[in-house]
Amino acid sequence: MRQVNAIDFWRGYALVAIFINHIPNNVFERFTHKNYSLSDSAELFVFLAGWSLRHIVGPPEDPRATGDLLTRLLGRAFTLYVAQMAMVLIAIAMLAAASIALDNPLFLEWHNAAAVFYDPVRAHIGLVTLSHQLGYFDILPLYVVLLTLAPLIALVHRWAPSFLLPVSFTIYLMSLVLEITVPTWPVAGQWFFNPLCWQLIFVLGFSMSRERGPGGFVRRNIGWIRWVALPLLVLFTIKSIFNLTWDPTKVPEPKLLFIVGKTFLTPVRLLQFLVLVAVFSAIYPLLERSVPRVVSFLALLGRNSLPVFCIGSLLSLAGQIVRYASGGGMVVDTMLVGSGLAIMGFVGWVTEWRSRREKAR
Amino acid sequence: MIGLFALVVGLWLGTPSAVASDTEPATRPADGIPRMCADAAEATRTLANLPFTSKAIRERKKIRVLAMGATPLNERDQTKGQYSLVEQSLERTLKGLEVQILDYGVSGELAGAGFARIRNQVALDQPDLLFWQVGVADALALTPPEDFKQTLTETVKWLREHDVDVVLIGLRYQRALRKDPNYQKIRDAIRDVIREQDILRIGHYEAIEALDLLKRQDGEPVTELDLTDAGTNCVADFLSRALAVGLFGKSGKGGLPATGVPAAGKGESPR
Repeated sequence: MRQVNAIDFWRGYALVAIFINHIPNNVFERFTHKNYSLSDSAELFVFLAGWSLRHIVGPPEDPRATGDLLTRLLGRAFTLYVAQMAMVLIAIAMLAAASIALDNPLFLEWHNAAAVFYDPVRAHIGLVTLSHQLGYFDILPLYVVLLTLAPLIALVHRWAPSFLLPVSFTIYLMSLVLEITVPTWPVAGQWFFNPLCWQLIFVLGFSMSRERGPGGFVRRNIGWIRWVALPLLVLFTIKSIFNLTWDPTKVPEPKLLFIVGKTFLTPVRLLQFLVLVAVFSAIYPLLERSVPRVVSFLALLGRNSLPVFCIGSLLSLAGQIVRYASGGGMVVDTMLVGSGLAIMGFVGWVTEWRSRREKAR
Repeated sequence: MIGLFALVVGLWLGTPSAVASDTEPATRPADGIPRMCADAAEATRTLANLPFTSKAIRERKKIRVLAMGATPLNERDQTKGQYSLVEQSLERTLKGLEVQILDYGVSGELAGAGFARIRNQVALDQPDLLFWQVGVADALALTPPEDFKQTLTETVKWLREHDVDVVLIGLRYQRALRKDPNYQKIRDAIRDVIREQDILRIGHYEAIEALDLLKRQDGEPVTELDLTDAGTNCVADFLSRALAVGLFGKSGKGGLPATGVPAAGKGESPR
């Protein structure tokens, strides 16, 4: 088990925020940072996923053998893929059960599930190929794609490190300028998280995790970077709280460079996230001293992010169904969020307990 | 004027359910639209202008439509979805008109999040018309009806300020939800916004409710699933019909006749 650290803590925070945000309209949703920020936990989750790549790639002075690296990264991508398949299957069964139990066929069409029930032949192909995604179950497909590309990212970083960020940024920029999207099928549409754009934040996470290159530069200059970031963060926060927004139809072409959008992870949103990270990375030591139990709990979740994410996603869906069936309210929401966090913590604890037992054998 | 009259007649006659009659089979193979859609469409009459879409047709012979919200698949053409039927129907009947429907529907999206995406998509795609299937996700997520109504009103006003017409596709009818207070309040909110903002609505709920009543009066067994299918299958028909009314029908209480006779054929001057 790793020591409690900032990365696991923030990842745990992202998992909790995703869980809460994915039960829309619950009373605790208003306390997550998305209400005061242009970005939300999705950016944090993908950034930290990129950061975690460092554990597999290994330190610069002792890099992992290339064959081993590729095997591990592709193996990890496959594990995520299997997790996505299992999670979606359970989610579909939950929607079906809810429609029967509550005598409400609308559940069969909720969160893009309609195709699964009314066009199963095509929809199952779409589910397996990730071209059909359920609402709120669409970030793991992005992660699968990014980890499938991770060997390429790791190798470019190993052999031509100075090329990695420029190449990633060029792909990002081209996607924005040319409005390139990844289509969905059989339901016409596009990936909610455009991988061509979201790969940049993954690569940024990986680059920032390294002691050399851009990561080294940021570490050496974090003091003044935070002073520059702070007023920008204040401005972004005021913009978010008071909903001060410019008219997207009035911005110059290419418009995606200037509007605020999640699918394309537009530059304004990305910049806001980076200043948020710069400023809030400073408060971890304070949190560790003042609320050690909270930090420890969130780090437990973060260390076991995949099982905790999966159970959290399913609990969110269960929470939505229970809220609808019960009529919601403060008591219901408190019970849902409280029990959800307890179950997520239990899953994290069981995962580590099993790991310890296997090592002891 | 004669050309426009011909367009109206063509559109109306070409609108699939417009030619339905009691002697026809339940499903006509020519266009695949069930006759029940025509029966149900009796209840979908709403009239409102579509000035920006009309202008686009006049000036460019091309309309661009943005589709947002849930997009249930069409049982009869699962590869294309309901909007492609509307596209085909309009293009078939209005020779020379190019209809482009951009489907950016996200099922389960709440109205608030939808508004944010609509703003961006309007900036990117510059549509003339928006189809917005809204309300179901908010009803299931227990969005306070007053918040929902405010979001809807703001969206409609914003769209109007940006020269975009809007057609709201209202809630789905489900027997089990007839007495669901939140569902009905969201339905009321949609109706209020439509009345206050004078916009075009697809009376999805009323249409399928009417169909349910008709079938039960006839003693035909209708399951909840049948109604869901009917709701899905008829949306394209309702949309085509509503567009015909909104683009060329005369504002007023009469609406278009249920079968056969185009409004223009009664001597009304099409716009």
